[in-house]
Amino acid sequence: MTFASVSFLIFFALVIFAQWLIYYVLPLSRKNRRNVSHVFLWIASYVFYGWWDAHFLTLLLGVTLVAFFSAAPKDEKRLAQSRVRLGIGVGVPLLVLGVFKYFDFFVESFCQAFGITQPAGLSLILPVGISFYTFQALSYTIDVYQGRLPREKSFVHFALYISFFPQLVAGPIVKAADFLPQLNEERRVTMKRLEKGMQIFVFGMLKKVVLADNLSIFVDEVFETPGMFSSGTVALAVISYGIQIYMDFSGYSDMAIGCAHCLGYDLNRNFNLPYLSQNVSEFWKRWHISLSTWLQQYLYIPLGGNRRGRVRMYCNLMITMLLGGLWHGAGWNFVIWGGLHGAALCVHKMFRSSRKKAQHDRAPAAGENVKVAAKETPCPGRILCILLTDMFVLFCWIFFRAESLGQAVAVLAQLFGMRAGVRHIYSWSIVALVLVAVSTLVAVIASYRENGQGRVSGTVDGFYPVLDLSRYWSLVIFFVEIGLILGLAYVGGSPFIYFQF
Amino acid sequence: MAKRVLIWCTKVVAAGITAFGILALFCVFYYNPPVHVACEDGATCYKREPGSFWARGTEGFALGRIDENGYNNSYEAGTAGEDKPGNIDILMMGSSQTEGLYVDDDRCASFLLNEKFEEDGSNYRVYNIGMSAHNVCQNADNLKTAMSVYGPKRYVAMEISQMYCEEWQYRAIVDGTYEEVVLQEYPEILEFAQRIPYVKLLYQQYKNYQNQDLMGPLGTESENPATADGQQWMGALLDYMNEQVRAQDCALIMYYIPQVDFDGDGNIYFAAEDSSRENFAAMCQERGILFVDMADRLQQAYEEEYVVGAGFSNTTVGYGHLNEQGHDMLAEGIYEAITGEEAKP
Repeated sequence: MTFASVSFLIFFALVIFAQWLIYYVLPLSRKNRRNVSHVFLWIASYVFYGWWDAHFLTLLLGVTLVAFFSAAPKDEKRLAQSRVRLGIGVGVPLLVLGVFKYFDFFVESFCQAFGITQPAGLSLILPVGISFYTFQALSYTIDVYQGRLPREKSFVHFALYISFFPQLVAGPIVKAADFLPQLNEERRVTMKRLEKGMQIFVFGMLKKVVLADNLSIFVDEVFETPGMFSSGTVALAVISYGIQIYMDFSGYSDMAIGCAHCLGYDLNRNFNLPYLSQNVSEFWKRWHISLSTWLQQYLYIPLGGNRRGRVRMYCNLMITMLLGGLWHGAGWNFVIWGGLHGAALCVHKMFRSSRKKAQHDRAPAAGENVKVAAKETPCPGRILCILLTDMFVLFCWIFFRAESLGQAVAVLAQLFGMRAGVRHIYSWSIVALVLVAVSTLVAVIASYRENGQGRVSGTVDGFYPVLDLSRYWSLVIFFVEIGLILGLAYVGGSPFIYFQF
Repeated sequence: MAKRVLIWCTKVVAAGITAFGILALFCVFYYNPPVHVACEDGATCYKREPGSFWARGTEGFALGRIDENGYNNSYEAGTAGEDKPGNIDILMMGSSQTEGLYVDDDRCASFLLNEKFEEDGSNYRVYNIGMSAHNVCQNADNLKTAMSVYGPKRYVAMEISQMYCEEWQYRAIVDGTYEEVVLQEYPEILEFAQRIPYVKLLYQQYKNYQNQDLMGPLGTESENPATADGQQWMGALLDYMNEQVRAQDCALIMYYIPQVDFDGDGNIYFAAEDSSRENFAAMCQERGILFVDMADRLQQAYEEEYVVGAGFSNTTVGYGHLNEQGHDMLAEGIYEAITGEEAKP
């Protein structure tokens, strides 16, 4: 049951209806109806997850139970006991993730490295969403241990936090500190929330089933047989993949955010115009924000972050990004992808610090003005930075998309070999490029207006095109949007890319 | 409160109707295949609505107009009435590939052939009665009637996409009991609805959704159990068609349009194996039938110039129908076959 399926739409309509009954029809006290609502959402989330494979519900429940009962704040008096509990709370979810996702990969790699005959792997089916809910469980355990979050008393609340169906299978990775407090508030289905939530959901669906899925046809074809296509076509396919994965994943995130909004809950944005980033550091502040902040908070900073000297900082960055790459999938291509981003982050940090140093050397007395001058790169320079960053990101996507290292090499050889081949200018790629360009321009203009100082702000932020559905023309636009989804959607069945992670 | 709800509901209905109108207008130019209507004369099992404008954007981007007989012929002959029945030199019969509703009506093979024959001064008139879902058996069954209706004077060019025939098919065609493709009868409301392009698009989406698993890689004909003696029955069918065509002092041209696919190394391949095509070519030669093998042309164009004659800018390469280059190749193939034949002493 994916978001872009009829079964989900029926399921979601039933959930909304039930929530409406609980809050507006059933004669319950305020506290009771909140409790009933939470229990119902928890059960609904398990139904949603069990739709794929009911066997994995035990895994989900197991991770939930371990995280709930092992979480405890750090107790200086009983430090050993606290650490054991933390070890269980962190170790068990990681063990589950490791066995299901990485066991075969590591055994295979080990055997290949040492020339050992490979034993039969476990060949386990990867439970959908396992990387997401284990990370949520980990964040809770660590936050409680470090005293950033009180221990949750209600198991239902915690189980709902781990399994909340809008974000269960492909994120965003919600931090307990952001979600659990919402369960203590009156969160209900209202017309206002439905109006906004539905529009965000439909917007995400348009990105996913119309743009991403139609682009997938071309991308899959070129990556399958890169040698057949001309270098220009392969370049177009790489650009198309960059747009496809953005539309696919941000579309899913939008649908998740829209669903949650309809039900009365708020999830943070997961994407913020990532292809407008002027450098790789900024890219990771705009792309899969929930994962990058998770990695920063629970991996990079605990490793020492930038507090232990430069060399250590670069090492920490590399470790974080390599593991971040591995999080996406058990394959060397993902490790390379993470490594490339890690290296780029290191280079950017080096460049930034040397630039700062040079500016200080030139104007030691300028003080604050140096900061301002550093921010205000002229417009052509900014555009150049954006283009270079996008080119680097697109280059890295080749490793991410390729099913093997060999395939990535074949794509690169065809791309840079300036070879002849079939020239295929895929029309959906052109449509997607135009739409991305137009929507970017709209965001830049909106940012310009918001700034109101006659210049485009350094940070251009995206926004959801939410209309006031009490107006006639807003309704027309909304219905046309739905009509276009029905008419232009690729119906050949294309799963969300991030489901595999 | 009730009044506000009522006003909003009215707005929703009105906005829904307006949105539907906008989508329908969009689809007039995006997906507007001409509707099928009954073909009383029996030249084909059904035809398109005469005079209708059509557009297609789901598999290629193309526009055109159906002629007064219900077929895709927009070529205007030099003299009024020149392309009417009785003045036709070459009659083309085939499926949607021949019909050519996936390229602009002035880029389909029949139009290009008309241009070529006008350029070389022979002024042969080519008339295309290709119709979707009409395979070679269906066309063989309609051949006699089509020839009597359109009376070609020189050639009948018939598309073939599979090189075998089963015994029951042959017998039914010869006995005149071959089952016609019948137009499905819909209630009046659905008859009306299919004239709204957006409704047609939704219906197409629904059909695609149902058939999504059917688009697997090509099999080969040898996998078909009918192939072993299927070629023998195809030979018999060729004899039957040749007889019908020769009875009106015409010659038969068979042109093979294969489905194109590529293997993992990017090599082109076709549903019919080389040996099947060679056997079929030999059968045609024995019977004095001209044979145009599009597989050779498609392969040559791909291997020499990386041009693929099937598939469009909005589909995978090689998928589905012939594109403009494919129609060029087809027109060139038929033209060369005819001029080659006529150059013989």
